[in-house]
Amino acid sequence: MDILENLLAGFQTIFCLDTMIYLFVGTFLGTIIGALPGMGASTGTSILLPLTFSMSPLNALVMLMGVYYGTQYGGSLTAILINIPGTSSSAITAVDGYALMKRGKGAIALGAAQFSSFIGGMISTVLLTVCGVSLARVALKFSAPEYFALTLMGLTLVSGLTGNYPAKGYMMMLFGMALGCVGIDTVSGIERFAFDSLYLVDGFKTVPILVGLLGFSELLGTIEKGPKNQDNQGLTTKVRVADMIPSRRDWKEILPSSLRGTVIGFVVGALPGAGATISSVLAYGYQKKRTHNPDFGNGAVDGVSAAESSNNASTGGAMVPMLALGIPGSPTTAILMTALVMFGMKTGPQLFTTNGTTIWAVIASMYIGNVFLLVINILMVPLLIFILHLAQDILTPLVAALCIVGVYSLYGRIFDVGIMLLFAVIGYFFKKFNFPILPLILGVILGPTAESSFRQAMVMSGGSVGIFLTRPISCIMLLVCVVSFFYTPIKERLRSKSGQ
Amino acid sequence: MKKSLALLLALCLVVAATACSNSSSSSAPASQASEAAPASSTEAQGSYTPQKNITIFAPYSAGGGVDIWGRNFSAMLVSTGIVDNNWVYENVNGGTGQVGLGTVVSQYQGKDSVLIPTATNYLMTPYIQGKEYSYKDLTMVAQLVVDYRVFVTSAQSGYTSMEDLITASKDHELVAAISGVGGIGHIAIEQFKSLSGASIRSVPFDGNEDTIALLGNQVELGNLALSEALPHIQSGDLIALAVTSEERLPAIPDIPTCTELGYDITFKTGRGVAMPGGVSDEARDYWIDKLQQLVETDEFKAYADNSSNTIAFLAGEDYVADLDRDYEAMKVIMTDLGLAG
Repeated sequence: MDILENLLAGFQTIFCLDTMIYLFVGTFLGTIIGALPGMGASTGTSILLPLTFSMSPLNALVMLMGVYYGTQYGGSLTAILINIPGTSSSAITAVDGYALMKRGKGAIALGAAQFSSFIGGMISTVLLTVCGVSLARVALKFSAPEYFALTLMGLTLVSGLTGNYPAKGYMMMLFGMALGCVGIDTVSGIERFAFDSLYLVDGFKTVPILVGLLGFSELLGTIEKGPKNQDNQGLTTKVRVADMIPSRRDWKEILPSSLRGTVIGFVVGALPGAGATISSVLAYGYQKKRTHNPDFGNGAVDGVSAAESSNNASTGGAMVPMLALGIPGSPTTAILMTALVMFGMKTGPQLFTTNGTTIWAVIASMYIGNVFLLVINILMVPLLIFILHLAQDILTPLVAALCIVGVYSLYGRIFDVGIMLLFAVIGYFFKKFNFPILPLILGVILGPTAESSFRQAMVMSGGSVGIFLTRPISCIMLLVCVVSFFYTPIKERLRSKSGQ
Repeated sequence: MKKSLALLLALCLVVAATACSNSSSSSAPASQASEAAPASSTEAQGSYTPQKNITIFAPYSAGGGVDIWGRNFSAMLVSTGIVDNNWVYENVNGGTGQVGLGTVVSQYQGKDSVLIPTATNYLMTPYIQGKEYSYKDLTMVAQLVVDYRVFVTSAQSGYTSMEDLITASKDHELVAAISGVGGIGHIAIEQFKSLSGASIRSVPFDGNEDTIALLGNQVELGNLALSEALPHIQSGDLIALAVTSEERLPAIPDIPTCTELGYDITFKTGRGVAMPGGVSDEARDYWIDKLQQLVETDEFKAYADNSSNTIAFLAGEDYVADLDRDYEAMKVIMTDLGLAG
């Protein structure tokens, strides 16, 4: 089989000491970059890019790729340990992961995150190897109507996550979507809510909002409680590697959710317009429908594994348009493509024919990279917990400093730090008054895409709403939206009827 | 003992985080001053020697086209042995380059240890739309390459030439994709619309989503940078209809220019280097000389070839004159189209 031959040749190419070292360096850096709040794969790879010019193309690509998918492993570490998502795609991981951490089950959450990341990473690499090129063609069928349907699917998840007062949940979702309206509007080119500020013109960036809402507002709560009333259960117990290996019962939850997350992550990652964050939202939402865990949303292992497996799988998926068609689907893949150009490779569909050896070697390195990452992360967790355990007394200012530096390092603007602090206060009050944060996060992440793709679709159709129904893919996805929106209430209604 | 160890570890973490962020973000002006020493010490009368550490300031975020161009040309200056400076990369993003240009004007005026990667678009389009800053606030050093635009359609669309599209537009409104309202692609399509009389509606996309829409045959027409479109033209996924250069391009010699087809549409995007306003002529000429050497190296030629850019070296005053011409032409077009501020 052609593919297998190419892959084996790829493995042969990378089995030399210096390539392996660069792979290790890349994955290690990726983990750290992913864990640091604010800095993400795109900043990390663009900083490393000039340093790679003196390296051989293979080593450079292997290292940069390692950084890319490594960040999806590292992001879960800080998300679970201190409720600060290191990357916006780990925001969803933080929901259940940090809840588990507070209950003293941090080790299991972390273990589940690493293993499901591994599953997501490995299987998506296999899928990339086997059906990458054909999937790329299918992905091109997605355009504005389909992206609208996709994000709508994500937003209808709110219906299952609103808790006791659905109205509060929807209010938060709409608030999140409203935040996304600030800035230059893609479709009209008009500045909305910019108030002549050069900062607002670019809109609110997701990461400062997420870090503020999730992590920093938690810090405010900690400060309020005072030094005597901390329930640092998760940090008082020292964690051994053995504690992180999931039990058989845990595996029953982790395995199916990871597999579901992987498929969703890979497919959504392959869509040029959607990335790790959207995939983690959709996988989480789907797992919500299939879970048997009553704690889902408040500390369920399968919530962590669904989110983590999908955000890792999405990096494998993001390689699909890049390698098969020469289209960068995300800022990081754009940087990787620049690296390819710098090394004299022609990007585009001819990439496999003109530089097949290197590309297959890079794909082969992804398998090994995932193994490296699993080991690195598993070993790093006890070390991190040890450090946090030692620093318990100064944890709050330490985390605050990390947040501020991380958010600032994104774009070099104090404005973003201000946004983060603002949302920390907002998040603090929302928690006090029992407003659920998750729908707000969904609104912030999905709102902008939902709005612009709806309007782009309307321009495409010349004003007719029928476009959503005449196109098969969007029609199916919209049906799924409708069904999932009414699923929970109808189920409840039927259950109460049959109970009578 | 435990507490001081914890404090030490905490300090290490914070220092590590700060260190990671310094190289890609703008630090407070105080630390910036220590990296870019005051200009007065190097602005000697008559001769200019740059400092060891030069800041490459990109008014866009890390990873975007302008930033990558800045990293590329600076890396090549070193790898070809022309200079041996250390580059400090700084990115200030916002408002299509306006926030960055504003930072240059307010913080780096006169500092000759700063190089700025340029792209025609951000140098003039926002200014025409009524924003504050433009290339007139900078000292233009040199243009190195140009990228022309090409009208394209999907291979699956069934169209093979501009005439096909115009015929089709007679019985239905054409759907075109543009990247960014007010961007060069948008202006080119609007110009085509008004010169040919075809009825077209443009779907605004972000970034390279327009290319994706074209590849998937979701829209019928687009106007892309040649460097972006060429791989897809060569693979047969996109069909080139016309180019916006004055003469046919060697990469796609069978494709007519817009002028040949009767439409006076000529656009190009230049990439070059600038310095803050107020630097000495000696400083500017020093870098003109270095960049001239760069475009003559094999490495740069290969780079331009790979990215489908045409080498078009314009130094100092010539660069400014060329920008002035583009600016006047662009202003007229944008005013006609109602896009000027």
